[in-house]
Amino acid sequence: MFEGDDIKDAPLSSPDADALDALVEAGFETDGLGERAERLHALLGRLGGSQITPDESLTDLTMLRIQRAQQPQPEASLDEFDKDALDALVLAGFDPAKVSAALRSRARRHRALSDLVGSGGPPASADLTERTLAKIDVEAAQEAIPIGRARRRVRIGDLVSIAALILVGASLILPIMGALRAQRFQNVCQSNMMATAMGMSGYAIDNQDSLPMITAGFGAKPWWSVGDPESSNSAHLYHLARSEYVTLEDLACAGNRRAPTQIPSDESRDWRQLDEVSYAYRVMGGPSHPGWQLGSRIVVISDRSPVVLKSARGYAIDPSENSPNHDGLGQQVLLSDGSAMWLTTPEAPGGDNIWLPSQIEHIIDAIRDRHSFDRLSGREAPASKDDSFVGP
Amino acid sequence: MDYDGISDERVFEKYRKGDNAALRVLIDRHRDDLFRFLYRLVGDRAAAEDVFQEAFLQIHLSVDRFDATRRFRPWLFTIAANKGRDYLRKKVRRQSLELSAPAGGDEGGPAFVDLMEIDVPSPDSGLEREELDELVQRALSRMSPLMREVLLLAYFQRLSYAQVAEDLGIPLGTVKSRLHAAVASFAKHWQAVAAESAANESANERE
Repeated sequence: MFEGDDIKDAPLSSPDADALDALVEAGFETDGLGERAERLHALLGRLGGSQITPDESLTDLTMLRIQRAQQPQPEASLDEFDKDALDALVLAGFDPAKVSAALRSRARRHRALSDLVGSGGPPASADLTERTLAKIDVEAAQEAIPIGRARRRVRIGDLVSIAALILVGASLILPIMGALRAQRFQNVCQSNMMATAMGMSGYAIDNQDSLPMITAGFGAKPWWSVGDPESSNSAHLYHLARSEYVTLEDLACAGNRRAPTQIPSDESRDWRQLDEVSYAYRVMGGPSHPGWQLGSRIVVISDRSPVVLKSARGYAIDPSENSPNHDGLGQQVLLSDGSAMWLTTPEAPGGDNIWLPSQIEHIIDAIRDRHSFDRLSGREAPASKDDSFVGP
Repeated sequence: MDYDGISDERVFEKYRKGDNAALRVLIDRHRDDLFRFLYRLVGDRAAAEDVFQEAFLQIHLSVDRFDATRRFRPWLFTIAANKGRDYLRKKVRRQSLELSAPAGGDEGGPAFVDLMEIDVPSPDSGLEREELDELVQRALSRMSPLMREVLLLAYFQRLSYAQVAEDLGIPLGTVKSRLHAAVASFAKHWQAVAAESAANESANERE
């Protein structure tokens, strides 16, 4: 007997442990290892259990189970008449009247089930087409055009002919390409506006329905001092991206090649310069500010303002000019009720010029006649919370 | 350009040749049907819209691979079904990771369904459209994704077995047996959700 009969929760005795080690070392050969090792060998030999053999059908059964698992199991099966009726209905183009009388009542039931599933459901959103096209446009803009590397010998004459063909082709194609490109940019901007609207909604929920605003005033500098967050109006809009309600890419118009799509560093609080800003934001000067989806329906974001770009550079302005983002064709705007629209002139619904505060709009014609007003100073503020006035 | 009376296949050919407006026409033509199909398939409005956009993006990316001898609509629905399947697969993977949810399904063998014993509501059944939609969606959600896809592809397109077989690239006999099983599955689940709804209503009335 082994030392220590009660082996439950008890280690082997030291002599038994030594014998086991020796047995393992000797490859379970007991020759010359003594009685203790022979006893161990006899005990361990019983573990092999030569009587325990699998049933010969185990392989077949296992394969069958695997095959079954690979095939979808019907959870329900149609009655044979219903199967025939369904086949007849499909054959009849889903018109039960064309199914033989014997199966017609069942075919009608199939048709009713089909109507139940195939009709109803919520309608698609009205802007689903626009959003789909915008997504395709974004993808198309990112598509790389593979350039062939094959070379062959060409003569000067070939090159001249090809150049002439290209010129003729370009004269025909460029206007079309230009129109397609313009449409694509419009769609991308509309998609950006919708993403920004969602971001504005998130910001408003977290901030008592207010529009993004990081400083109460602009200081002594013009509010188009982009890069100086203490003075710049664009820093308010940038805050929306910095706080991750939108991405900077959402605030980058495809028509503005200098627009960054990523925030360069954690310290960034504004775009670096005026040219990088794609969208004009409600000028947050003055004593009162509109809320998001509260009160009047005014423009809060638009494609960048040509009036601000020219004023900032000291050029004369034309208040009727459209944004440069879309080749002067118009501008996308986001209104305070969360809707976006395309304006072909700078006039918001109601006739408010979005590039100017209304006090200037009211007197601009008279000033034009009698004075030399031809630009903004960058210190103007909206006349009231209902005045659409965006910059830069 | 006026696209009225021009087949989908010809409109798509125009798009392939550079007519950008043609894609909008195709999206508009199939928007309602395809969206409802996807809503039924994935059971979620936002996901259905996302898959809808993915499907048309795939159409755009595959513009040069479309076989002009085939029909556009089945091609679109097949692409959309593939995208929907991808979405469901990801969703199931997420759910199983998050919840370690056991796979659904009934115990025991298949139940036989007799359509004549099933109450299919008519338009004047008294059920509100929204209520009906909700019940249909609940029944669909209990089906396996494969069965649901087969059922919806057949019901939304109303194609012959031969056409479905050609579009899906599977044998005609397989189409038949799958649709039989899919209809049986839907009928069974419809019966169950309708019974649950009736039981809830009578419980509410008693209260």
